[in-house]
Amino acid sequence: MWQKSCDVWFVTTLLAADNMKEITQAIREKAKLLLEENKVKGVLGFTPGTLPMARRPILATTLEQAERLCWDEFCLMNLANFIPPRGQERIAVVAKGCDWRNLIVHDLEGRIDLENEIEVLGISCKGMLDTEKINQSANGAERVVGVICNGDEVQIKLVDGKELILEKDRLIRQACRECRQPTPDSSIILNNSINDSDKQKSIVSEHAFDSSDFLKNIDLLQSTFKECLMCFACRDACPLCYCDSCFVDTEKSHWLSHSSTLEGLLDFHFLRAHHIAGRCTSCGTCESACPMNIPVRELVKKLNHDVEETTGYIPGITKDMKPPKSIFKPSYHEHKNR
Amino acid sequence: MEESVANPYQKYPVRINSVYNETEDKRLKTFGLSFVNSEDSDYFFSQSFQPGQYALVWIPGYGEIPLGIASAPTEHNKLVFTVNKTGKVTSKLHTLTEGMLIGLRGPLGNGYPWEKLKGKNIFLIGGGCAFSTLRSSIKYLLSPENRQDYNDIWIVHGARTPGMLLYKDNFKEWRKRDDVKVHITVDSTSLATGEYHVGNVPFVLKQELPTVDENSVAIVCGPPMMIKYSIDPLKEKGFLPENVLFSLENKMKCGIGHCGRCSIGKTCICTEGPVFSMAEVNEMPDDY
Amino acid sequence: MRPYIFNKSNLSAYLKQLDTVFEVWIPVTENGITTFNLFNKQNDIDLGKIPRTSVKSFFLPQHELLMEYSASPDSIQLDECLPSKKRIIFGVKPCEGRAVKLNSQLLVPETKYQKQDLYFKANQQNTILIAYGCNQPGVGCFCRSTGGDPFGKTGLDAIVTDLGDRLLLETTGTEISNQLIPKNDLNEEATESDLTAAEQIKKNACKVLDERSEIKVSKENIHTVFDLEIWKETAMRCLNCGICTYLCPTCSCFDMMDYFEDGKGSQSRCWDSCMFSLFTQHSLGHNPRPSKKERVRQRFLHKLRYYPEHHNGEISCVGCGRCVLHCPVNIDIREIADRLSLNGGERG
Ligand SMILES: Cc1cc2nc3c(=O)[nH]c(=O)nc-3n(C[C@H](O)[C@H](O)[C@H](O)COP(=O)(O)OP(=O)(O)OC[C@H]3O[C@@H](n4cnc5c(N)ncnc54)[C@H](O)[C@@H]3O)c2cc1C
Ligand code: SF4
Ligand code: SF4
Ligand code: SF4
Ligand code: SF4
Ligand code: FES
Repeated sequence: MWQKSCDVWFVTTLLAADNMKEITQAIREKAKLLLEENKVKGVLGFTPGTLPMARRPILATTLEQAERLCWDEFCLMNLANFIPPRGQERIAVVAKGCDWRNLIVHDLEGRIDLENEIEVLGISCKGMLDTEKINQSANGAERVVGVICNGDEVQIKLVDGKELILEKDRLIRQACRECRQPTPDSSIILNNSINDSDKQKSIVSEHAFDSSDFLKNIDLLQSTFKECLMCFACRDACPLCYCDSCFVDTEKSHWLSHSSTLEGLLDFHFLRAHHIAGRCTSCGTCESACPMNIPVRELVKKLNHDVEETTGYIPGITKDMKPPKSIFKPSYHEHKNR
Repeated sequence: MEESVANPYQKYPVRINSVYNETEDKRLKTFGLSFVNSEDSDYFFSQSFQPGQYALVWIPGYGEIPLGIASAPTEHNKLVFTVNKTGKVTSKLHTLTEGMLIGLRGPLGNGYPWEKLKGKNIFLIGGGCAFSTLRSSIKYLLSPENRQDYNDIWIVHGARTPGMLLYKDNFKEWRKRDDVKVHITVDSTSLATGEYHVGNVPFVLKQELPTVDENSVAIVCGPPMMIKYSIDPLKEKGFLPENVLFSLENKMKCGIGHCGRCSIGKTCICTEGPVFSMAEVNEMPDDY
Repeated sequence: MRPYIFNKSNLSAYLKQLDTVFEVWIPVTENGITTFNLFNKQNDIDLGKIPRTSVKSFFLPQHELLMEYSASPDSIQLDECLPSKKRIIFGVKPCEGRAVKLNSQLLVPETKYQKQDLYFKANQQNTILIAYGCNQPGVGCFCRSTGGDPFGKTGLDAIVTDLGDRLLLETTGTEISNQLIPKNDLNEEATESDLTAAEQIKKNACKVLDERSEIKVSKENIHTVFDLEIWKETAMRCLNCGICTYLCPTCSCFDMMDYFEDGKGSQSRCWDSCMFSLFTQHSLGHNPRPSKKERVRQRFLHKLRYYPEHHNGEISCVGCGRCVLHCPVNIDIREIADRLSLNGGERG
């Protein structure tokens, strides 16, 4: 029966989740406490799924669901994206550094009331793993039966019974390598114990390529984006793409091509990059969601860099300044003189 | 031609013969069209075109939209559409003038079940651009070759103001006839001429309609709110759910059951509809 | 007719033979993603993996020209752009052949009352599929649960079984399939023992898949199914992106659009998805499926309920596992199908 085969996958998955037992345990306990004391309506976190590396966002509202919350290096989605609309009851959110940064941006932009509506259960993060890299080492996503992280090693069980051992460090997501704040500034950090050298590890900045290269090299731009399907998963997974009606969701305009021709998809990526410029926290969720392995984040890097250089604003880290986009007023004269 | 199967995306060229501003807010225009090629016309009318069907009207470079056919098969070689300006294609259509060419494919979908309706009392109730297929139906019913097949005919037409009423010339003609009962109503008016009722359509239904039996059929076309609030008065008057007909307007692209967007549950509106009875709609899941 | 057999090392010689007949497409891995590419010297064939995008692109391309025209206010000249290029796709998964059949049932119906999509039909006539059977079904695969088979021949022109060092090639008897017979020194018939070996491989593959139970079509009242809690739960995390529908070999919904410049224009269509709000949004703003819940529900009920009601109980999922493997939030059609059938379906 399916139920049975689903269970088998759930069990395999839990094995993998277990390596971060302590954090998982801390989340569950805290979640149950908050729910029991009626302090929150639900706890937004992750729960294991039907595949070894699948972690699902879940809003746990019962003790039973809270008991199924988990934490490990596959909690890839940015939970800031799953927060219910404002004005509902208080919830708690399990947040790694980048989730936190997006919560800050949401708060500054007025989308959430971080202080009054959200209890952040912070987690100091050592970096998430790039599932696509694991899939490639395994020769296909469909061949990965189980994944167990043991210290610096990742052990991968394959469908033919074989096993692979990979070095964990090499599997860390690109975005996590470039991370600027692995630990939230929230008052609760569930795994306080993390030492600084561990933190330091994930703050190495490694740039795959500079996004300004794209502008100089149109071939690079085209070859990088040509496989894009226009599935919009990058937009839909991004916590900052929350516009009620996105510019791609209109048929009434003639200026945006909806088709997946090269012009169409570049239109989409350029426009989106401009909409998140100076807001993107480089969390990498867009890239994790992308089914075609497209380095979506790269296009906005240059724009983000420019915003930081001119205004000093770092999305999700700067808290005492309004987002540059909301205070930006081009001076009439400058505009005219150009 | 050697090929046996026609390309369903092929369109006929049609010429705009007349453009008429229906309403005072200038958002509704009626277009008279004629086929450029007589073969196309023959084909169109030989497809047993029935009032209630729609066609996809195509403006090169802008796209195709489904529009209810407002003319009747009895008005040979003439096609009429009434178009509400809402978006890309309809706005463009509103700028077109006499003599210009556009494209068309159809007739598509199913019309009202005219065979089954023979011998019945027919109540045609509607407002706004959705009245288009009712115009077609009235023309059809009142034509000399069909009138004797049907029993009493009632028309209820409503609009916000007198200036928003449609097909004024047609109504003038219809009101002169003694074999059809016409009720026109406006939500408000400053001129009390006695020509109109004052009040919305559901109100007029309550006031003016007789109690009916299973031999009476209501065809209701109009804005969603009008339809919603007409249901109860119709039930009270004794209309059976299978005798209340609607024309559903779902978003459409292909018109031939392929593109997938017009469905409600398992029902494909563009090919199995757009005409459904209230009984059928009640069976559908709540996805409209 | 007995199947043919040749050494794996001769595969590229065989592909060259095919290449003289029609253009040949093979699965190639680039930047970690396997897709179908033209067979040439630079491309290494990567058999066995489930290609990320399915062969749907060859039958219903993501972007397809329907009509080209020149138009002015007083003349319109339309030309239909029916595809005519013949091609062989080597190394598809057997489930994809079934997917083509399922789409064909919708787009090229045989009853004369329904319209035929001549573009899909032409693509079907012009595209030859040679599958590579699945010795080792993947973790997301469940073709047997949907009425398919890891070595099934539906919708295919030939199928290859991997015997380790050698490949066994069976043609399926379609009109074109005798053009796929290996020529010259590659033309060698399989022996009894090759066939036995192949049988064993098939049995092993089926055994794995048969542990995954059959998907039954729920017969519960549609209004009840509509109100199940599962839709709300699933919608909470669904991104409403296009991954599942775009990767799916059986999802076939499309949008149509026009382009026009300097008197010349074209009408084309491109993939669309029931997961997008614009899919059903009316011009005046009303949306029959206003939130994620309605859209998620539509995708699954279309596959597991509406399509079967029109097509003799066949569900429109072939169990390829793409949506299972690549959904960023792990929405798993197997789990949903299971919960649907638990809710009133006749389960075995
Ligand atoms: C069976 C049927 C009969 C209709 N009869 C009439 C009529 O007689 N008069 C009239 O004014 N309108 C009618 N409509 C509605 C009309 O089709 C839409 O107003 C029109 O498609 C809007 O197109 P647009 O390009 O101006 O709007 P946009 O908002 O720019 O829409 C973009 C595209 O979406 C599709 N679309 C959007 N809304 C609708 C909709 N409500 N229905 C169908 N497709 C839609 C069209 O393909 C359209 O081109 C009918 C609709 C249906 C389904
Ligand atoms: S664009 Fe990508 S990296 Fe930037 S905030 Fe959005 S999901 Fe994160
Ligand atoms: S997620 Fe990837 S494939 Fe999808 S639209 Fe974004 S870049 Fe393109
Ligand atoms: S089910 Fe998954 S892949 Fe499909 S739309 Fe939802 S998030 Fe995207
Ligand atoms: S629904 Fe999912 S498993 Fe089924 S055919 Fe489509 S992509 Fe494959
Ligand atoms: S309009 Fe395309 S399926 Fe109905």
